[in-house]
Amino acid sequence: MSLDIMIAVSILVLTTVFASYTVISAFVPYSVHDIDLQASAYRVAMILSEDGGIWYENGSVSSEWSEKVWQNPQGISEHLKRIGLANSSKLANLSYERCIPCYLNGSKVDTFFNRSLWESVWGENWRDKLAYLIGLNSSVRHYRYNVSICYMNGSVVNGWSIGYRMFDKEGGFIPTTFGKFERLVVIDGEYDPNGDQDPSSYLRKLVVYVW
Amino acid sequence: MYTLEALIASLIIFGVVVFALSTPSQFGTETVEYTSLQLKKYADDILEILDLENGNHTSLLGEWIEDKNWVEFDNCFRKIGENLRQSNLIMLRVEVYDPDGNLIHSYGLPPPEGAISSFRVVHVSNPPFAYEVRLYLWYV
Repeated sequence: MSLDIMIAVSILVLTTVFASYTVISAFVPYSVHDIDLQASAYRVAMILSEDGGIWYENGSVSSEWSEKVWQNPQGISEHLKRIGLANSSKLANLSYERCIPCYLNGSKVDTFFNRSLWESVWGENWRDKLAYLIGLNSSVRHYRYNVSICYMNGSVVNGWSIGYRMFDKEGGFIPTTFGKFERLVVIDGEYDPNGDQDPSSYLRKLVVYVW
Repeated sequence: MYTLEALIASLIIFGVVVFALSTPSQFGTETVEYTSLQLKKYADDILEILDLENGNHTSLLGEWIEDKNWVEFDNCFRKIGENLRQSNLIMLRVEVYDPDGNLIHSYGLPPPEGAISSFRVVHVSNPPFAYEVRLYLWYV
């Protein structure tokens, strides 16, 4: 009898705790974990799509990190760590407001994905080098990333996808809970604002998944 | 005794139902805030790209507005709108305001309440005025 009561009480306690959590969650539109995932996706998308991004360096605003890669990869990596990229395992501890502490909203920053720049620095291996630099392949991360450049219909451009794969061998989508953010970009070396080009056909999506 | 067993059974059933309902959906993690932010960045990006400075220190948007070339203007936004609608179920409307704040041109259906908007001040050199281009985006 006492065993029955013990089992009943245990189940009662477990169920009550679980039900309470579920009921409370129903009144909260998202969990902290979801915010972290979304903030991470947002952060990576913003930094990779800006023509250099902007951050504070020695008390002043600096920019164009992608163009400084060849000058000081280690220094750039340190900057990226401070803003939550590049092998920082504390990414989740950054609040949404701090996720791009250095991004100047409304400033005129060109929206380019600097593929040809990185290709000129790293050659054909630019995707692996970029993934390494910003820590997408790091094993110390709590999160996994995938960054892709896609056509507007969603298909990936020339295999331009870095980070972890999102589909298993059977084609199943691996992430269950994820953050996703997209930006519309043009590719440097592909779209020229001076040329007689139709910009609508050069729009690409930079898609970031975090899970 | 039977009451206790019934209670336990009820709780187990309740727990299973709650667990099933609370299993995270693969497509359900986007929050309202990020949905709005996503639309806003889409709008920012489109205006940004069309306002990229060229060698003449103007931009496509600037040239279209200066020349009143609304055919090219509409054609570009029509293609972008088709892309967004087909890939992301997003509709758009774009409006151009002169320096006095008068609406001088628009393309697309009127935006519903709650549509996200972004604007860009576009400078034209002849005459030297600043026009406002406002882009509305919303999900179908």
